Amino acid sequence: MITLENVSKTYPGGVKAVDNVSLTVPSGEIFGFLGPNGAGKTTAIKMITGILRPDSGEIKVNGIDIAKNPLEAKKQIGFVPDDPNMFLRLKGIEYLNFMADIYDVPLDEQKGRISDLCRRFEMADVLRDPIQSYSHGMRQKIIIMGVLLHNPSVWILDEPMTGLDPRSSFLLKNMMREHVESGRTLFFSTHVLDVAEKICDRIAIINRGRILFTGTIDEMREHLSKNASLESMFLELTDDE
Amino acid sequence: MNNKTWILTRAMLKNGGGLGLNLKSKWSWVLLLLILFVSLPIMLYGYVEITAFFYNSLAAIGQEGVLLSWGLVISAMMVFVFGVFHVVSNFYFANDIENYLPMPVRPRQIVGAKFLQILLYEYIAVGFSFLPMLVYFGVRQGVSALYYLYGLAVLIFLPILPLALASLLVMLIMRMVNLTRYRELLRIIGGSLAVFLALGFSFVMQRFNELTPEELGELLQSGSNSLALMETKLFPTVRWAVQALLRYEIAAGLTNLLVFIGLSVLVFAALLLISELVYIKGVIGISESGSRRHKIREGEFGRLVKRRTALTACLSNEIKLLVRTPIYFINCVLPGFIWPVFFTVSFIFASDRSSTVMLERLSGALNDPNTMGKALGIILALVAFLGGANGIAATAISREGQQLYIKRYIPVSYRKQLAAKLLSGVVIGYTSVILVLVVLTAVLKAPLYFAGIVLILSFLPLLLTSMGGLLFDLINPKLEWDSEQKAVKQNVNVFFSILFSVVIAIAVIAVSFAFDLSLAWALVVLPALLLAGCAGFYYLLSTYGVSTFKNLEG
Repeated sequence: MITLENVSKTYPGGVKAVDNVSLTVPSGEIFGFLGPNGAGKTTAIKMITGILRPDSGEIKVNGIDIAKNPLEAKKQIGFVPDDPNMFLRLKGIEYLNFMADIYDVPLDEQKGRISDLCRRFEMADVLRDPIQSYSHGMRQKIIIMGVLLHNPSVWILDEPMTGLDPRSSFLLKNMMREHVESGRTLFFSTHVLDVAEKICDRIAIINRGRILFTGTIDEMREHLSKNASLESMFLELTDDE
Repeated sequence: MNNKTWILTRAMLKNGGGLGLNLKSKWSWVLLLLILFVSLPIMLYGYVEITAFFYNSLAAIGQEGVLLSWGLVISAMMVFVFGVFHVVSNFYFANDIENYLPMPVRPRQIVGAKFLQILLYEYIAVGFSFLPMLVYFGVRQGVSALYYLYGLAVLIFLPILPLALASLLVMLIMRMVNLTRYRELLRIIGGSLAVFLALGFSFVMQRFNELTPEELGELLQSGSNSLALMETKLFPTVRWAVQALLRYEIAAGLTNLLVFIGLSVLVFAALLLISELVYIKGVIGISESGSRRHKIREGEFGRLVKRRTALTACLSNEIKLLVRTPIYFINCVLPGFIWPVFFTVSFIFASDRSSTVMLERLSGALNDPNTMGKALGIILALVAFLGGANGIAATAISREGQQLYIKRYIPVSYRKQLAAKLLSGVVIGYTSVILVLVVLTAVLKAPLYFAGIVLILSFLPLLLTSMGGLLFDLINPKLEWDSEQKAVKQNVNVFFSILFSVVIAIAVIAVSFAFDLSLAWALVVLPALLLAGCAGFYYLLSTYGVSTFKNLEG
């Protein structure tokens, strides 16, 4: 479970990226975080993962305060950033070993999980190549594999579908479903509304740093009292004028 | 020069350019002022003292013009050697090249813009190496304003020839290397090229210095400043620059200046012309990375999967990055190899008697109980310098660039992450120490136990200089860059780190000589001194350093 209580963040220069946000992401549900470009999605995710520190408010991951006990909180999380261009100089297998070392994965578990993930993501024949030589989608896949190695109880993904081929995207959606069905937490940001509509159990919509709506898509329909697509409701909600 | 070259130059300079001095931070100001008001006057004083010594000695035999000639040749050689590093990094391994390749610009426009960009940095170097000498000579000779005007012109055109030579050499080699299927070898070849050049220069310089007494006598007799042209064979255009400065009062001075400028422009034009033929074919596919696609069989996972502690994992990651990223390898790892090799080879192959005598004297000092303590001091000072000059710790934070955020979400304490960065500097520093040890034992015939002492004690100067470098980079990290070379080459922290290591080196030598340390005393005093430094910096890093790292927002 992730909880945010009255969290705010203002960037130098005065832009209020996240404005007094309170949010609870329960376990066992796929939680989608929606909003237009520059709405504050990535800033919120960066604060949850410990990359940025909020100016005020409190963030807890599985009840652990990320400000007070950062290492324990970070160990709960598996984070997939929106840009998979990282660790490019490492070989696939070196990156996976690195992640296992950092997240204290026991050796026997590590072997089994790497072999299993390789099979599922069809990456076994490139593991000994440098990540630099991978395509965008393959980079995305290797990053996801590294993040899943320690079997995190909270999985956070920033725009995860970008660049994935249909098969990998299908696979990822299945894995996301599996993850929550085992009672764990999943929080992901997207601006692809089709994806959100199909796989999210619950969504939050953010614009200009404020949460406009939290609930299921059906609740949203009730809230706006219209039987429309998520897209048209989203546009109505985030229309500033 | 056409418009597009200018547009490209401006874009390149603006895009993450600069020396990475973040003047918004008050610590940057403190550092900058310290440099300006403490280090520079000391350096300038030393420089003027040396210049004065040579001027007086040369003036006694009517050959003071040689001073200008030396200054120009040394500056040109420096531009050439540093130029090779700059050109490999800027022309070939900079990430921004792939942005320019699809644009409707000619190869000569890209090369021209890159050249001008490097030229700007070379002016800083030449400003340090030649300007004070030019002014000193002018003051002593009581020259008119025209001399300074000519001097300025010489200064502006001086780096063009050596930099163009460096560019040509690198471009031709890269063109040939890029023919092969194994482009990944490039980084090794690019690096070896630099070593090769440095060594080549050492030989060439020695050949030029071999002058029989009869030849020297003839030259001396042939009149005032006749020696001044002797040293200029390496960079032929320097000859006209020297003449222009020595004879500025008469028309011949102007003619020489014009020839010098004309030749420099001509060389630059030739470079652009040749770049049309060779540059694109050398640079295309430079960022391609080979992949073998070997399937891993089930049984192989056991061998490939390893388990290390978080600290070892971070350290090994840092080292892999340094060795595998061509720019980091060429600029941070390779120089540590070059200098010891450079020193050794030039000694071993030096044919003249003075080198042999010097070798014997050094060897004697390393075996004489009366001088061993001081020798240890000098070697530890050298190790401190090598450790600070590689810039590994001084760019450890800057190298993270926009990916610094990764360090913030992984569950490894900031203290441990800083320790891994620090140790990466020490580990790579030790590769230089190994070479120093080879020189000590194989060439200088130092006793084995002495080499053992050096091996163990080297940890301290390496750690201390790395700590200093890391602290500078924490205070003033350069995180905004689009090309790795901007993180390590155009980073003022490397300069700070070198200055810091020079201070440590001087302190160690000063203590060894001031107290005339025996080996036994040196074994007590020098480690104590260095340990005290390390303890101080450990305190700074674990308090101020960790909290700064924690608050950095990349």
